[in-house]
Amino acid sequence: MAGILLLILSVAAIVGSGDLIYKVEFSPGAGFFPFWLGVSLLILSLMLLLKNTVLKSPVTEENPLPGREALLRILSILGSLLVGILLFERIGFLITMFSVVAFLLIYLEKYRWYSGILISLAMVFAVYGIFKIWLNVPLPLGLFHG
Amino acid sequence: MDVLHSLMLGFSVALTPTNIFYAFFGCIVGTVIGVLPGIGPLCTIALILPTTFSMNPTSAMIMMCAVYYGAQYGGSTTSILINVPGESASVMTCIDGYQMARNGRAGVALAISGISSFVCGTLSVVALMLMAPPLAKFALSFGPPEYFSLMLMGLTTIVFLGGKSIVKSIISIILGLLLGLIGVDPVGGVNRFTLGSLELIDGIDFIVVVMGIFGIGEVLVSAEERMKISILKTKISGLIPSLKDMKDSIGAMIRGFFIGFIIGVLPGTGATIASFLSYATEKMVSRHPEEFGKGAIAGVAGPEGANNAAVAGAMVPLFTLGIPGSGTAAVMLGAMMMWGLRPGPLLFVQHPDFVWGIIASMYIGNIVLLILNLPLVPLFAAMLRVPYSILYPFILILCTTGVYSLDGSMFDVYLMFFFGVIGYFVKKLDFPPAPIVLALILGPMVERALYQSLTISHGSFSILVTRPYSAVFLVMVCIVLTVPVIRWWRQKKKA
Repeated sequence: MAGILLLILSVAAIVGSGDLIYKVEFSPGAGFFPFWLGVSLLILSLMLLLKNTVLKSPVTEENPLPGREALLRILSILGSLLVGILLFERIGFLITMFSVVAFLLIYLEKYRWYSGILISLAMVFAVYGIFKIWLNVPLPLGLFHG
Repeated sequence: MDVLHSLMLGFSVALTPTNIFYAFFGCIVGTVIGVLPGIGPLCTIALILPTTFSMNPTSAMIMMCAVYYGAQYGGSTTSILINVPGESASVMTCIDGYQMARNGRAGVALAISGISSFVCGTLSVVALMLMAPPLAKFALSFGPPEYFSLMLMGLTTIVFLGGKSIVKSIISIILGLLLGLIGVDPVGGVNRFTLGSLELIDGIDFIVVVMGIFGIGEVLVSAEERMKISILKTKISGLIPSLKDMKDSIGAMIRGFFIGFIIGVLPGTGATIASFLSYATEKMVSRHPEEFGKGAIAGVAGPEGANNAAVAGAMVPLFTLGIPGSGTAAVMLGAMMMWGLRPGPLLFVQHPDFVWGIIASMYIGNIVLLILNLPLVPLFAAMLRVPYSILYPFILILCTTGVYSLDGSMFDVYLMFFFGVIGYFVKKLDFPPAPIVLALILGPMVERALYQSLTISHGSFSILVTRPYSAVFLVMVCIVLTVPVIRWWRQKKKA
């Protein structure tokens, strides 16, 4: 796991030094800070990797990875949220958010369909009330706007 | 006399009906999110931030502060009743608080944590009031080099006191600093790491990161383990602690106040660390250390007091130096900048009504919370019956809508989703998440201070060492950095 981490971190470091063109001017330029951050990150991630693999004494205990069931739960939450935000502007706040909540409650949390729908409706209208009516934030209305 | 005069001004601001309402409202919201596991003050304050744009900054800040210290009151309720900390600063309260509840002393535990929170909260506001103005006056002489060294000191204290692992804390900080680089650089106006995207030129909004990591990420972590919450079926009775209980906890309260306030003042460390240190201290000084873990009342009074004292402590560097004392204070700093206030020593001169209004409202809020928490504890405890399965979809849509409402930008919402996934891994891999936010907000300030210093000195780094205060801060940085090395070396020698 830490190996993947290292990969991401060192990429960040490389990108950092790629910006280095701006380094020497009258005083340090835009590349100065990113470069040194990248270098220190590279050193630290190497330390982390070394400890986890060669020395076999992880820096801290990492939490166990989720089991099959837990992974499915996380993926359904993430998936429904992603679909929700992708459609957010197209079909509007009320319908997307209602569908996300109703899906989670009925499919994932096994609520009866009518209580699931009731709770989702209440929730969505509460948020709608706070943002749209009280705060006057323009939320995408989508289908309701024609 | 000067302080009294200013405090009168503060009360004249804080006692207007609007501001009383916001203090009260903030206290209730704070207590509620403190009671509910899975949502903490950091995320909540970021969530209510969009609601404050149309408000008067003083009222908005009064509400935010009330949420912050209200959460410290509320957090103890879940710790004691169901052994689940309502937020991170109440972890230590679980140990002895839950044991007291199992021994049938839930009422006393709740009461003592309320009283201790009140005593330490109020004492620390007094300390804030006495300490902040002279500190601000002193800080007026600070230039960019001093600020740079001071912020560096703040970032290193996070490392020293922050998490379980120093390496992981530093990585968190660097990640935050790297995120802060995105956008137009503060000196030359060059685009950095924007990947050619127009949306990234303005940089990444800290609210997006906070809601992603602390909102969405937290939901994912908690959803993984289906929470089996079983409320202790004891009647919450006997709220009034006996004289012996009070005698056993008064020392812990006073010590908790000192520890909490000092830890709070130190930049970068907040309520959570304060409560850990307080618990450790109580165990050390106690004449019956064997009682700890079995329902020692001092183990509740100390940490609960300390986490409240840390809140007012965190306001000291925020108001006087413009440097946040904790992750939550960092979000408040971001908020102040969004309202067009410049946090720093001039705040006391330019906006006395703002600073003193907030200080005065903290006195009011603490009283409100004591009243809310003592008799109404059963009511808040009943809120625990709201199952997490209803709570988390609500958090999801609140975060989504909250981020969208900032700018009406879908890009920000996608970014929040991305940081949600990041937040999940950050927690899973046991990296401390709060330093990321702190560093993200401090990063551009650190960079600007460094560039300004080097421009003053024509590119010579010696300016950081030749200015006396700056040198003192840098020496402290070195001391903080060498302590863990020495400790590691000693351990190695022993082994």
